Amino acid sequence: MRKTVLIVVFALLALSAQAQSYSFSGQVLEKKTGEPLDFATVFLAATEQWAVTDAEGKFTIKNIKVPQSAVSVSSLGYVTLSRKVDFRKEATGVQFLLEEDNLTLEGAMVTARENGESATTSRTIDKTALDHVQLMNVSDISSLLPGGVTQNNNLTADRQFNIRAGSSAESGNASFGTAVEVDGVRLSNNASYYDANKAIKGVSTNSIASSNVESVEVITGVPSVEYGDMGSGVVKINTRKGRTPWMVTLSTSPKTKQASFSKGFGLGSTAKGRSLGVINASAEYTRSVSDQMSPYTSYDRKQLSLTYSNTLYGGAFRAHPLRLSASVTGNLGGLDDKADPDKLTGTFIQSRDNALRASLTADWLLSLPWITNLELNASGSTADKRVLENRNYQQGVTDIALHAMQAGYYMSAPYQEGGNNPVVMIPPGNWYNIMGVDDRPVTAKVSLKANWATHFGTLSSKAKVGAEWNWDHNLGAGQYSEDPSTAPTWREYRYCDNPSMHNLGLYAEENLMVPAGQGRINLIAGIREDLTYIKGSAYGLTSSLSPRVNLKYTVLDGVGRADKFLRELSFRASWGVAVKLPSFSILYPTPGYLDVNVFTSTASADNTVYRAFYVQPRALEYNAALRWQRNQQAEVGVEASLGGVRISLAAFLNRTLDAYGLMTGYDRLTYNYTSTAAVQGLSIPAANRVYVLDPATGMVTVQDKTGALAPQTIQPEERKQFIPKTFEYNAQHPITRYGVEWVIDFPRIETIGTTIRLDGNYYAYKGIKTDITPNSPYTITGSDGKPFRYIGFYYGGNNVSNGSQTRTLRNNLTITTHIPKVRMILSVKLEATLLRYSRSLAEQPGVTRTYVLRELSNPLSYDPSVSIYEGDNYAVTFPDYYESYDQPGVQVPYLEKLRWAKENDPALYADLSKLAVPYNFVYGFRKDYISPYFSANFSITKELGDVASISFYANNFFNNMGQVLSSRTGTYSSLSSYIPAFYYGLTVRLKF
Amino acid sequence: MKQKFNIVVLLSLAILAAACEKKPADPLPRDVSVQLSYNSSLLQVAGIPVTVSDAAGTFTLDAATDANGVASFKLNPGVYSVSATYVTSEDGMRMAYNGSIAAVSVSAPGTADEVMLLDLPMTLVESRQIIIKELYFGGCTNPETSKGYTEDAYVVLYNNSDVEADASDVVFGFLAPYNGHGNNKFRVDDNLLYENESWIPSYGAIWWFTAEVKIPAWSQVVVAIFSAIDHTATVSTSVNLADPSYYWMSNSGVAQYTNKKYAASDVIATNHYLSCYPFTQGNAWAMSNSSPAFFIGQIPFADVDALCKDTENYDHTLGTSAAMNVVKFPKDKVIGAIEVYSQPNLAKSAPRFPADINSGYVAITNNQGYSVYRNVDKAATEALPENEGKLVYGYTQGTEDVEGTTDPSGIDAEASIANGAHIVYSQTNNSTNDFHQRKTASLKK
Repeated sequence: MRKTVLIVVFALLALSAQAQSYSFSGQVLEKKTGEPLDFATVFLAATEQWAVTDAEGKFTIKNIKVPQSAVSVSSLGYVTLSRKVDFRKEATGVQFLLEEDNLTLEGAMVTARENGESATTSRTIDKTALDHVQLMNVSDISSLLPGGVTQNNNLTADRQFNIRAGSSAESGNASFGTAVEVDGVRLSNNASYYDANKAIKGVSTNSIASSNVESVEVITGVPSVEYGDMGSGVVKINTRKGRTPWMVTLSTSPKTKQASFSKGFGLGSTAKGRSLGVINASAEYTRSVSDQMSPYTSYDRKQLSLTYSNTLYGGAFRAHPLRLSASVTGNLGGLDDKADPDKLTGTFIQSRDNALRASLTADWLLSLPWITNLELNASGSTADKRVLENRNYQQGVTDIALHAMQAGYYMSAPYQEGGNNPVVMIPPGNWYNIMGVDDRPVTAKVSLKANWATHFGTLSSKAKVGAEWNWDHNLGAGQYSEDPSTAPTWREYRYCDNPSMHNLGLYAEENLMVPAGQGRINLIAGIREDLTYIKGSAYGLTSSLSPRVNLKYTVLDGVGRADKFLRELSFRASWGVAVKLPSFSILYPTPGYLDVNVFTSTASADNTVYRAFYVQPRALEYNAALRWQRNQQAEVGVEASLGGVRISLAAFLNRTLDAYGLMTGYDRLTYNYTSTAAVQGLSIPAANRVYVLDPATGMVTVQDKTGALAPQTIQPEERKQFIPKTFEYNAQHPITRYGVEWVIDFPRIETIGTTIRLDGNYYAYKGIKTDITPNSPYTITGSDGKPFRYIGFYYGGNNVSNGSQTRTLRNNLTITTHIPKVRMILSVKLEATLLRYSRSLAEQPGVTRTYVLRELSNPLSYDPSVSIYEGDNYAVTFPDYYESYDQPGVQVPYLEKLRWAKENDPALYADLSKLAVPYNFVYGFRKDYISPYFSANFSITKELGDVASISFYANNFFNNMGQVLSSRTGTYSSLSSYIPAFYYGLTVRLKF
Repeated sequence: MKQKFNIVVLLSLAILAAACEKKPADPLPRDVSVQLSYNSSLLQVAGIPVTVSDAAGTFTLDAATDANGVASFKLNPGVYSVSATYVTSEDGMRMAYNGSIAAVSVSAPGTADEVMLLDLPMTLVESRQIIIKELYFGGCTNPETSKGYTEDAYVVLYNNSDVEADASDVVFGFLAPYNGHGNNKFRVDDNLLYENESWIPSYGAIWWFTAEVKIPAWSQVVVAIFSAIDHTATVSTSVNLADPSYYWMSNSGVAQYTNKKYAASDVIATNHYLSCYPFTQGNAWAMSNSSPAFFIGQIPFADVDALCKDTENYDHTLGTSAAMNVVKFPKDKVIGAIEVYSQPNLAKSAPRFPADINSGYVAITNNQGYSVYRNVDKAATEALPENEGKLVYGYTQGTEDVEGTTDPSGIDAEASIANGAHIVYSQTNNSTNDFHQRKTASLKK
């Protein structure tokens, strides 16, 4: 079999090598002036060959193995020109006239543009649309996707992309799985300890400068296997490159101000006339405040970007040009509330959001029979997410700060400079202390990709193989103190000491295109293998396979069918698996320490209090069985043009498997406790007492510092309690998301220059937790007056519901009027949420998981004869079984024992009943339909000659402050939770 | 002359004849037994003094009742008045029994041992002995930081009577929710769900004394709520609660109360530590520092302990997590209550006590060193004869000048007490009438 494959491959290679070669040359000119355009890119879609124009606007592409191809010519600031070229007829002297991209041209779009050539769902938002929406945070473009919802811009809270997912309350860490790239540099928080042990979120987009974004492509379907470390969705942000005039942007809205400028300039040429390349520089300052009435807590973004690009044609690259691009971006900024006069004097929180990103891309056009081009990409990024917090502390008695990292008993002691300070006494009073968290993720990536585009008869083939190595590490010191004598409880946990994560991604993909009838069939199949290695950890080497397939059948491609009702028609289907690598906060959850106060003295005249603690450190809780979270995506779509109405429909089904999550387990701890009352009765006068603790047993001995009385040792009380431990785990249940997206563009009404777009989505989510989850309210008091000592084990968690389902139906109507003569474009968008449904679920196969409860205080009043989904009832969930402290591993059926205890053991009944989880809202499991609601926004952009343009927008311009009705609760609530408040903004752009 | 002689002789004979006449017997005194009764039942208490007086008030006899509630007298026939007064305390109530009969005719006995049985019906006047005199919970301003300091809360119990009170079974609690202006799920359509129930929703824990506590007449005990320390050593504007006579709600003895803020001074003896069974999750007893609904009850600690441990006595209206547990405390065990609202949040505040326990509210601004202090019952206080010349007027601790309230009696209770007076405080079960916002805590020196 293997031999057969090899023979076929070599035969194909030979066949293609023998194919005839063509050459294609010409010139790119500025249409209005006839001036040559340098640095314009000419791209052959069929072979993926390219050329960059020289100073005279000329280009040449050789060794073209196909007789014809779609050719696109693009240059920054100009409208991309695409047409089909037959190289047998147009081999030389072909002229392309590019028009400057502005509002004098017909067809300007301020909505997302469907990528018609893509075999999966992909959309591009270009500069005109970005300017029109006055982008401040790149995640704002989510509103331009089908059914997108507008949010008012503000940078004081982190924003993420969340593709084909609902709210953050859903399981499956959807936003964590959305890949975001800026000029090919993956932005990732894999190496960050951001929100450690809390929500697993995607990378924040706040630190991405918005003013120099040229376009954004959003792949919501199944992407190429090139893209690894992801779940659902790829967002590719392209910044401005190449030669551009000076561009200055000034934006203002009630909460955000922005100023930026950019300029792309050539570096001249060598004596031989070879270009030295182009540098594009941009700088941006953006400031956002959280409250316009008190504009002091602010987020700043100060960013500088430099991008160098050049194409080497000379010397070794005469036959095989090399396109180079190198960029470096630095950002300084973050959130700071130090100036806020409403805060207690001297206190502040400063969160840095500094970043440094650099990349080098080399695209070597080889045009050889067995390889078309070779792309090398090397990138690195680092971020400084240090958080500094100055807090004020005040305490009437001695405060205690715990720093002990070894298990044992410790008596508190005053701070000693340079000494071992396991339990520090901080004198009573008032003090300030600054604590920091040093989080500095760093990522490096090198990738090499070979493309081979060829034809076998009518069959077009584009194959690619690639490898990428990715390294994640954190250089941060973790939490630290600027003054250890007054620092609160903390333990050193140096992020930089944790192992790096290496990932080697290997992939191969074939993209076949074959004519079929009047159209064509496009099949893309690829496979990706990710080998993740984390040295020195329990995780070791992990292998993850990601196969992906896209099939597109273009029945009618529109050519020659302008007068037909059915002009274009295509179908597509995709399926694939994507694997999301874990973040460091998942791999290395911050070790916890259980600090049990085992003794407290009385307070002396100056309020000094001695305390002793038993410290139980928790080692880093590696879960060696942790698997990487996977996402199975399936999608079908259809695109059609019917009587000039363009329709795009896509239906998707995403299943998330092995979702990352946190699980709590419990260990048992026995310790000795000495009460205050036990020492208070001693004969040694309080003023003369010296407390001495046995570090092994925790027994307290009181000595008389005058020596008059003999030391007295107090017999402690033995206490038992559970101690929790938290570790990362994989959810056993799949999380299902499905939906339909549509975009309908009606033909332009020429008389009024107006286009109408209907876009929307129907989205559904269902997640049912199935894990057996232990839970103990171990911090409460048991019926014997001692720490509570039972653990319940619940199917799907210890909530009354173990899942939920949601459905939304959103539809947006966008009316865009473009009047080229006055260089103005106006859009009005009505965002309608027609269905917003959710319901809590409680499901367990074969048995009732959650019962109707008749009396909230009586768990045995549950009624198995009625479903929780019927009527208005209280509900209760019970653990399947429980364990007691004294009988580890003995699983006692819960309900059976509870019934017994009710009759025979009131104390046990009281304790066990605390493991029941009642729910006191009778509408808990009702269907919740929120009544439909609407918001209307408008934007207007006007160009003032070629020099200036101005944009203005108003969100919720009707200032809709109505209410919506919840069918679940029967109550009305404000729309403010659902639609943006009335808001507006203005941007002025100058170009010279 | 002869005529004068004859008259003298006749008178002398008459006198002589009278002297030689047989002398009649003296009337026999009669045994009179006065039986005290109350509400148609015998009041069988020994030692109650019963007073008998003649009509002219020139003759008075006293006798104490025996174990059967009977006082015995020997009285000559005549008309007498009979009266008795018995003041005692029970379950925190001052119980004053009074009985009197204005005219009882005592006739001579038919036989020497005939006993006249006289029923003396007693009437009862009850008044609460133990009251909340002051609740200091809002904290003060730390002059070093201008920040509030609230670890110094305390409550003062006062014996508002002339009889020693037994406070051993007094317990302390507050109602859910914490704040008067907080979202109150117990309140539906302006009515409390438990308005007509036999319980009120107690939150967190209910504290009890661990030893016998007696409060002498017109005296008080102080209970430190968070830390029984000299707070002035840390924050100069605070109060000194490090006093051997004070009590402390002791976190130390409660396993789940691990908050490191709280402790007690060396000088507080362990028999002054209070205890509790916390039924709500939390590392301390989290009484509001802005607007608590605070109450005291009188119930044996074993009973309240059982109430707090009985999960079927929990209410889950506020929520079903362990942090939202509420214990139903029996209304008939409540002996005092204060409804406090936060002054800045008055418009959003609503009562938590049902009307049969307390109506009205007292508003306070927290972090200013203010306390809520009970008003003086001016008439009752002035009526005490021992207060003659000891009452101090011209009260200046009111806060009416800063949107607060003052004591309408005008009597400076603390100054008067220092002057030897006995203060009777107002008890109308209406916090508006009974309390005012006091400028400085009474313990502030």
